[in-house]
Amino acid sequence: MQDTEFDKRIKELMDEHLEMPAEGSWDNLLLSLNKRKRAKVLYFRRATYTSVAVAASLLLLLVLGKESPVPSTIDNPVKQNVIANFATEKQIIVPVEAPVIKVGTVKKHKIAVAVKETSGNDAPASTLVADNMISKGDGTNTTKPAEEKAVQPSAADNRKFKPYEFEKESQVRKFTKELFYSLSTNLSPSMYSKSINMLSVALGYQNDFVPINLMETVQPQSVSDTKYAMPLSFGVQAQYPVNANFSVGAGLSYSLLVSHYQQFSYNRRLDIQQSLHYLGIPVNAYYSLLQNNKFKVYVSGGFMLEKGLIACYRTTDNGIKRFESVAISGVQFSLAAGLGVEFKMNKEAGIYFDPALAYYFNCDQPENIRSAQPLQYKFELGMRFHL
Amino acid sequence: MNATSREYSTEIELLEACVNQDQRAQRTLYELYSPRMLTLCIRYIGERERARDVLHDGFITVFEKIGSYNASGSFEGWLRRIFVNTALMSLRKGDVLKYSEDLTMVEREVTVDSSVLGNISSKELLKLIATMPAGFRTVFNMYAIEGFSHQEIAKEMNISEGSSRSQLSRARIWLQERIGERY
Repeated sequence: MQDTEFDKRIKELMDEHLEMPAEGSWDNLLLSLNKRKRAKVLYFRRATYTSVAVAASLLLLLVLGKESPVPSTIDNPVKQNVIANFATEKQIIVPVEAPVIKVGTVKKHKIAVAVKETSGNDAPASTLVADNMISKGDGTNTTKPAEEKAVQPSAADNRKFKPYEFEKESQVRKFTKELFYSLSTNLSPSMYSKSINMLSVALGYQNDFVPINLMETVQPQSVSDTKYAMPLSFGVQAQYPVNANFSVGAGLSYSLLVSHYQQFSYNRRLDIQQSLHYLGIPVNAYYSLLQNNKFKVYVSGGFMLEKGLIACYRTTDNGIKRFESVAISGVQFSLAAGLGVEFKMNKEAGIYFDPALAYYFNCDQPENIRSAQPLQYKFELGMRFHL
Repeated sequence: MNATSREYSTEIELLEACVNQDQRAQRTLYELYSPRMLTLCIRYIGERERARDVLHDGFITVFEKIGSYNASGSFEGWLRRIFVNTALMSLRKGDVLKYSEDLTMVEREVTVDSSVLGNISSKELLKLIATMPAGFRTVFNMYAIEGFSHQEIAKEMNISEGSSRSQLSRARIWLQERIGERY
């Protein structure tokens, strides 16, 4: 018999053979399809939240990261002029009535302030000379660079000199500059599910450990299935450095905890999706282990108090859909510790990654992933602004 | 189409409903093709239980990718390709193909009386194929039943074309010997 004939005959026999799938295989397939559909929706939602958080962080970075030549706190009638002078670099504005120019030494901004001689009239200080340019007060309106001719104000001049309060301002700025602000997205990669089926309950086994020989003979009847999705948080935090290595921080954090519960029986199918919304105050301490211009490695530890805002329930009971929301009483307390790294993008901003272990205490909160799995591994990702 | 697909007058209508995730249409499609696809899975996998898992995974892929079927070829051909791929993936996962024999020479020929194949039932033949060594079985299925070329088989199984040819010959001999022993 030729090989081709042999193959052809085998193919014919196999094509005409129909092997029937096991009973209930369609139901299992349908269940899997529905689960995947729900998982897709959930992942889409999570991706949306994360994208919004990242976009918001970048937007904030753009807004805060813009370097302004003039401190924004200057609220002066001539602010516009100052800006104009900086814009046109070495251009000089000539005083209207040939004023005497006094130079106010300012540490950082090097801005000379022109004040009109107080000769009885209250005309406002109308002229500023920017940066290193100065106008002589001899009535000739000649100008020379400050480096060439340093003008030393006399004692009398000093009395009249009314410099803009840069010193005070720089002090204020010195204090605020030390604070860090951070925007964070927190993803805890914990997913947990708990299935109870009649077979496993009866035999005292967990679902995955039903002996194979029993699985062959008995079709387990699933009665409940609980799944907890990944918790998701967004937050802002202010950090104050106590010294070069040690800092403390406190902030505000929003968390979303989603759980899904299904119950099947012969005459009932119950499907509940629970969404818990929490607002928390995290208080943390940070100790820097290693830092340079590009990155910083630190350990962190702290606690968080969270107040449940609302619990939302979407229920489908034998096809009848219902939505309700209830208030959450009590407060959730947790402790966390971790190791973090911050990559500095520039002097004012950095991206940080802060993996941590958190423990959630039993505080009589609605059933959620934290009560099912109190020890959680968290991934905090965010941006830190040094302002 | 059989009785289960009365609601859909044409295959295109049924497929369109499946693209729209109509569960009734999905069930109809499943009932229509699952017996043939389960046979295919058993042919490739060998074990019935694992074959059922492959059937399950294959149909999930079918329902998720059904929108990408462009009707240029037969739907059953497209379906078979998905199930063959799923079965091969399952075999690769279990490292079954990795350890398949790499034979280069076929030294003997076995001749089978053509009437013998007339006596064997499709069920018995399926049992025999299922007990074949994994490497032989895969090449034999892909070449003799699905109609893949040796080049395609070599690419799919990550073996040489020569190895594919030799495994096919060995598979034929193996099968002919077993059939000869029984009938």
